[in-house]
Amino acid sequence: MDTETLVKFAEGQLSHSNGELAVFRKKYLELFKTEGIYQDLEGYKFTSLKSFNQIVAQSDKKTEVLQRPSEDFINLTFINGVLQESDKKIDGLIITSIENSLPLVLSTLNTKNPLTNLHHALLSNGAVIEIQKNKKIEKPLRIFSLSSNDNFQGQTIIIKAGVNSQATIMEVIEDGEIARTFIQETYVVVENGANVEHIQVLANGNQSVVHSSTQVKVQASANYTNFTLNLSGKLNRRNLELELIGSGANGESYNLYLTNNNEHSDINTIIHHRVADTTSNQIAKGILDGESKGIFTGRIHILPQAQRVVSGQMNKNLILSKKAQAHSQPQLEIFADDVKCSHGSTTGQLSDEEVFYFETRGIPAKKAKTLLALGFGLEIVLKIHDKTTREEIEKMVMTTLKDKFQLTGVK
Amino acid sequence: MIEIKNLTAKVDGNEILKGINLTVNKGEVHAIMGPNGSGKSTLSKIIAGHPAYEVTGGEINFEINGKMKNLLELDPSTRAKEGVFLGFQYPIEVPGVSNFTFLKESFNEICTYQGLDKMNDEDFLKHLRGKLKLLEMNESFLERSVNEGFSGGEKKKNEILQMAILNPRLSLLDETDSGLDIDALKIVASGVNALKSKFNATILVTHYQRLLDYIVPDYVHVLYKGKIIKSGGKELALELEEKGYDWLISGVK
Repeated sequence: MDTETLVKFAEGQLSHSNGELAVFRKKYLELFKTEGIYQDLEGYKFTSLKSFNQIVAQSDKKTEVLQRPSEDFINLTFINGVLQESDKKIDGLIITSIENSLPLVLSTLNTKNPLTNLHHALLSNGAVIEIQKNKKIEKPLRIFSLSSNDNFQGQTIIIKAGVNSQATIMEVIEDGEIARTFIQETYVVVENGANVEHIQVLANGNQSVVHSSTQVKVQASANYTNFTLNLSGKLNRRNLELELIGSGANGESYNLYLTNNNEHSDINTIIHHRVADTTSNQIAKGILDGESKGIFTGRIHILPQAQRVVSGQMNKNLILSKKAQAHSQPQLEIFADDVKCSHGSTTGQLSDEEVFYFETRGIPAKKAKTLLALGFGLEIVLKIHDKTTREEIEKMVMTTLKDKFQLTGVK
Repeated sequence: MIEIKNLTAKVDGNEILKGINLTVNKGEVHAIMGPNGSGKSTLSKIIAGHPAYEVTGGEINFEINGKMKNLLELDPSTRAKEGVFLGFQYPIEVPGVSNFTFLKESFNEICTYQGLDKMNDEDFLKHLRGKLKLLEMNESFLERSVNEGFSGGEKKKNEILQMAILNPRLSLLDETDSGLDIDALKIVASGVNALKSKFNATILVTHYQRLLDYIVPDYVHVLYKGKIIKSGGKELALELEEKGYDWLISGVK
């Protein structure tokens, strides 16, 4: 599909907004007309940007969307980009539409990735989530982005966690067997002393493509933990840019990608240590089968003034077939001299020693391998502090592992 | 219970065991001692069925239902289900698999093998609590990933906990005392002693006498260059402690 068709599509969508938002969208539509999806050959070495340049015909095909509101979560559900009824006002939490928080939205959208022009030209769907200062949101917030028909969609989520606030936020992008091109941008600001756990799950069918970019700024003495989980989907590209901008800020990034058949998962992260006394930790794990591809790029960037930084990074891939490919790209850019950094990368099969250990406890080799593969993936999930969220994600991951890799024999 | 005859074995093309003969009866505790690299750990791994070791000659017979059967024909998990237990010198860390899941899977495999009903989570937890107490282990151990982030002492206690759950007839404890401080050693040893009975046997692999102060062996064997060069009673261990190995190995090529 060419840019011209995409431009026509975006023009058609413009009629849905007016005022300042329409002006903003038109500006980026003009930029998109001239620049198109611009190339980033280095950053997109393994994933062709052409993949996102496709308009999916708005077919009549519909699948039923299963809404799953739950008492255990604060629920926010989008279907085909439209916000369904959300939960009533929760103390300490303010959720507004993009249109109703326009000044904040427009000042926040200041980054650039190859799809920014297109994303901004389509800006309308999404939510602004504000956690008020000193408030702890007890229940986790769960945002579902579901789809019932083939389409092309943008979505924007803005999260502002006020000073000393605390929350767990889970985003789930999920479709059934429809074909959707989904372009998402998420912006997070974690103010001084706040604590945010942010889980971003992708669980699509085998036709959809997703490009998501998450940009996070973590202020002094604040904690932010990101979970990027690519459970399924034809093509998933996830970007995370995590900036530690205040002394004592801690940022963590945990990633899991499970791929089989021809699936393609590309996770690209940058952690910037902008000031001294900041810490980060990153683990990325992939289980790859069939002819699938899993790419992990982890850049740790420590500026000259960022002394006494402690940073760790690990990427482990478990390969279950001969044709699956794992690409691991750790990139350390350290300009400060007083730092502690560790990194490592392994790609391989399950170790014989581990399997033997299980066998000596009466567990046959086949079942041992299943348990080990489950454990391999669950290590990431077990890092989630919020119990409700962890249990929910654990279910999703277990189901995916069993369905996808025919791992059976466990509860 | 177990008879090892003229056992020879290789790993990566190197001959490690050069004709081992050893018989262990029910109710006995044997200690296998010897300097590093003599083949002690290899012997215990071969009995448990480690795939990296190739048995090139000899036999290992193990009593199953009152008859001596060729143990080498059984895969490692079947050996475990028949009552062979290997306590690892370096227990493997398994991130993502909880101790509870690991113990329960293991226990239920053995129940199924013996034609017994599997235990549900609640009953199994009750069963576990008694064993945890024996090893002075906190219940929080069950939620943690197998051996991940455990101290040396915790790992070894965890091995004995697994042994207590599996209730083996033959326990092979490979350097169980290494990495233990004296308090942990006492707990581990009392755990092993509590599990001893006239129906089961224990083979301790160690190169220090220290452990044998707490788990008293009936027999002590010295392994050197793949052969047992000396066997005796518990006093042999004390003699080794005093004199070292040199007086024994000086004549051995």
